[in-house]
Amino acid sequence: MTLFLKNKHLVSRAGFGIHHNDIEKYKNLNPKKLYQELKSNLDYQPLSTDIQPITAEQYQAMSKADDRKPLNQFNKNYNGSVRKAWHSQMINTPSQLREKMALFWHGHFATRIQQALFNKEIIEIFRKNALGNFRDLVFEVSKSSAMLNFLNNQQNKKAKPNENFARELMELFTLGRGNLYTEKDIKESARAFTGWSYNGLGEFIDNKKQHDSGEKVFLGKTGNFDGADIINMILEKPECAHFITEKIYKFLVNENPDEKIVKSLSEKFYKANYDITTLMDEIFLSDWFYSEKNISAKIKSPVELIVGIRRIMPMDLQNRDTIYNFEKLLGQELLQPPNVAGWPSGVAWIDSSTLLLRMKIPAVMAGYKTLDIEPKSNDDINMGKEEKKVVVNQKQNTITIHWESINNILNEDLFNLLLAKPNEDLQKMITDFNSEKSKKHLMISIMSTPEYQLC
Amino acid sequence: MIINRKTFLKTSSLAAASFLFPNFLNALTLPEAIEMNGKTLIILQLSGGNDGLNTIIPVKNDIYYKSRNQISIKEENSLLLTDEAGINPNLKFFKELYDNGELAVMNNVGYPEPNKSHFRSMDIWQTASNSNEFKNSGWLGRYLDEACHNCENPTQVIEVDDLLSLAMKGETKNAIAFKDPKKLFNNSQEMLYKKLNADNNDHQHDLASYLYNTLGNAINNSEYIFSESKAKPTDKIYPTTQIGKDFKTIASLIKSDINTQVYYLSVGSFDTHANQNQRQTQLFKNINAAVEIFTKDMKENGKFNDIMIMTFSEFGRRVAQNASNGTDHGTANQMFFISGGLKKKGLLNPLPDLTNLKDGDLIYTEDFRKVYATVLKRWLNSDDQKILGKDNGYYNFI
Repeated sequence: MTLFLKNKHLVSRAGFGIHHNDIEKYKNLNPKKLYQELKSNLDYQPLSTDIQPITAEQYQAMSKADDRKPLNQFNKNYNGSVRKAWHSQMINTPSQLREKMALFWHGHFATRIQQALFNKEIIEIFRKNALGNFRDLVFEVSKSSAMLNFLNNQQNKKAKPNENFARELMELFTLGRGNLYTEKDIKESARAFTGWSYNGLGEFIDNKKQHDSGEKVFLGKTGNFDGADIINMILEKPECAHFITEKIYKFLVNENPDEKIVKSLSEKFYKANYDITTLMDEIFLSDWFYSEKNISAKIKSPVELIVGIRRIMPMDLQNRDTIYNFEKLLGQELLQPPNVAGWPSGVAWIDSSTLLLRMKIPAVMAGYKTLDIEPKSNDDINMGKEEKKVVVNQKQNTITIHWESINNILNEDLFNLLLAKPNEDLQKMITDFNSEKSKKHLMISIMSTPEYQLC
Repeated sequence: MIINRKTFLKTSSLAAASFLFPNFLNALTLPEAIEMNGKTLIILQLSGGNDGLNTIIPVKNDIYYKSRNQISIKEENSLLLTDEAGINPNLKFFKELYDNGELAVMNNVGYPEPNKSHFRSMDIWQTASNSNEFKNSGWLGRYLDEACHNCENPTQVIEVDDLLSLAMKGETKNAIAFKDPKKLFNNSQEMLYKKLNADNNDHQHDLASYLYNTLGNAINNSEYIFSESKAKPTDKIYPTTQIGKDFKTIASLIKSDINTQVYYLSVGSFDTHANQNQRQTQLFKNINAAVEIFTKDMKENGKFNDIMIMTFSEFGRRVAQNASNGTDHGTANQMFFISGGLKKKGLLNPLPDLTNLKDGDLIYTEDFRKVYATVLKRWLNSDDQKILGKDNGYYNFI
């Protein structure tokens, strides 16, 4: 395997695929060095949105108003702005691994709410702690207004406990369904989280008045536990490290986990006291990461696909939403995972509609084809208004590819550049198919193949 | 479950013919698949949460009128079904169906611990899950897994839409979605796609095989569907509304020899937080007109006894109206069943009890999964317990 293919594999997993400026560099760079660059130690910076956020006080006032329109409008605009800022970070930052893992955590600690300031806060929690410590992540997420709101811990009170958060904390966030804990443990731990809530400004408060300070029995231990005790007791279990490691392995390496490797990784993760960077190093500096069975072994998620295209093929958008609409049509909308279990993965992204659309999008971007599709209605956002069609043609929502800035690319071996595992038969067929056409057409054709959906 | 297409071709000498005559292959696989009984199910999804209380109106109920000063529908304006129940005046044809014994109404259908997010509650209805359970496959997709066991063309289940709903995604098979058979055909007949499909080499990796299988299915199915849609197109004049067009597409396919048993379409938005009656009126008029022509079309073609239209919505709405002459998200709701082949007709059960509410919302009495089980077992002749994962019991209206 050439260095170039190795580096391309690495950046497709530790990031969002190869950037059009990096092609020469990737031909001779040692993958270990590239990995250091991708996890780069650039300091974490919050996303800078093109719409200024309003203050928590202003937001509170808007939330209390009888007229909900200004609030809904702000939420819609600001959510869009956060999405745009994050998207552009995924495209442009050299610190690819941080954004890639932030996307993982977004799908792991999934919330689907409209409150835009809450959304911004939790996305920043994911970005800031993406490569930090899993324990910090669990604590910060558990105390975030987005999660407290989404899983109803606001309603979890001493007199009337609400089990929603406690259940998902164990089932989805830390241990996995039915692993080690019982229904009784859920009930007891829900009592421990009573009082964890947020105030009118969206700030975490530990409301002692609503807290049940009585004795609880949790995972076989007895005490007057509070929420922090519960989280710490869960993290003491090596099973938690295993659950998280396996999920990360499936996200970064292969949908079919290699149990021996996962076990060894999870032991190291546990010993490192849940340090995420340690786990990343173990994965990306290993030899098995580059083994044949892990190449081209993942279906790109819609965000990976679209961000990947934008990294290799820079473009201008007449309407910025077009690009997020593509992702939405393909089943993944940032800030709106389908439910607390996050996005499904792998073949779940693919049905005949989404596959044909994936194969068509590059040609739509290049202006070779037009698009006219009606998304599924989303009444949680539209409040009864019709869903707008996604239209791209010569007049509306035009996309302009900067062909001039990627002239150098067109002279590369495009198959080698664009496909995770180039194969001769496909190469011959596509080359014949485009024999009378330009290199641009060739590039678009390669991106319109089933193989391009894999990384 | 992923079959390499080439392996498939090698193992079945008849497979090549199946691309031209998909029914032929389906017939070959019948012993393992569900036996087709000539029944067709059409599911009409009322997206956005239809207000059930202004659909089937409790005309003798004071609580209803007191809770809805501005938006209640008066007894004299409703079309009376029984002494106690009237139907929304914009569903005139539904009243006719009722009088003919071709309409059944199941009141107060829902599920425990109802969720009030459109998206989430719709997923619960579409996957037939519990409120705290997350499934990645839908009930009709799982039906398709059974109906299309080992078959090449999963056209037993079709959605009339640009994109596929979760309801239509199975564990091993996905249904196909299209608004217009011609558009689907044009989209999939791209020369490059056909070449890719034809040159499709042996793929060592399961994922590549899966993608190529999906592509091959899309191309072959779209040819099949397009040709069937042209075989015996309906000659009736349908309304030019979207739902009118959708029913017209379905009518033409039903008249053909296509193997489709389930059609899925949706109409909305019923999310009437403000000025509800205006919106609901318009939507009901569109539905009424489309269903009326469709029913006549099916009757004239002798198909009405073998088709059934079933409606549902992700939730009903609150009993009390809000300050904007609308209603907010609620819980239980009614479902309609329209067919010439119903065993029981009319109102199948009592209207919701407005004296017994939970936080202002109806308390469901009928579980939607029991309805699904009934339809799967008694209409589609399939193993409902396998598809729904448990025994839900049955109703006897089919």
